[in-house]
Amino acid sequence: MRVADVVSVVLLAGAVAAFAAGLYVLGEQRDVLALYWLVVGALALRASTILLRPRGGSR
Amino acid sequence: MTEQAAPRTILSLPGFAFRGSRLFPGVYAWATTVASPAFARDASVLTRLAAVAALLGLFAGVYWLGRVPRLGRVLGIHGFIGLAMATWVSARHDGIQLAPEPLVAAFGALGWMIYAFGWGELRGPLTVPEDDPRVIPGAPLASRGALGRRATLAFSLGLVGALSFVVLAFRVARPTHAILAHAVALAAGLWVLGAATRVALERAPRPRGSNADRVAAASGTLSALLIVLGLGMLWLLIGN
Repeated sequence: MRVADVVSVVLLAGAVAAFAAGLYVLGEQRDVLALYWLVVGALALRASTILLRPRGGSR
Repeated sequence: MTEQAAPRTILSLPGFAFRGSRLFPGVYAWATTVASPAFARDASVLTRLAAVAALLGLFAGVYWLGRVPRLGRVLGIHGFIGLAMATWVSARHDGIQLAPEPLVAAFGALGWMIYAFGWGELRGPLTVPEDDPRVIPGAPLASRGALGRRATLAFSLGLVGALSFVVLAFRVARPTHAILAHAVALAAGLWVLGAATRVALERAPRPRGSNADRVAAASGTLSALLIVLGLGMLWLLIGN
């Protein structure tokens, strides 16, 4: 397993945690922080899939 | 699409099962969601006629399915659903609320779902699809191998994450924010599941470039992620 593969799994885990944090703080009525975590989750997930398949994924 | 041969008579177990699986869910959906507004006190004659015609369409569709399958499907699906929709439009025009009891409406929706499954085509019992004479011959496609630990880990992560989003969305009490939370939970759940599946299945040996190439390809998104995380740290420091 390459380092990039490990990083992609870590980023996937980070994205899941960030989305969960975003929804959790939305329930705590902290909207800006929720938005922040959702953006972090989206970026982490995007980075995870790009790392996995750098050439855009068309096969 | 191939149509399963329908038993011509209802006086046998297969015939009863074939027709019953199409008829009873439809009747249930009709009774809970069409009949209740159609036979309300203020309903017009047109609404009631449309409702009765919808039910007759369903019965006729189930009857004709064994004789002229195409006609049966037209009556039982298009006729029934079209007339049910006409009933709802007419009932709304009469000023009747379509779903005064949310629980009944929910069960009605379930009835519509089972009705849709009932009218679908399934593989017959004890039939092998490959025995069909229209099957294109060829070597069977063999599995590329069992999934590894990484695949299981990534998919479990995605599945648990997607489910946790749905649970967390129910914590949001403010009504408008709750809708947003459920929308976000659904979208993020689907996205995470898709990404997790891709991570799980990307293990076939193929040239994917070196680590440096792959990091370079993701550099834009990774930079944005680092900037956002940095801004978050700053916010944390300034906020405290």
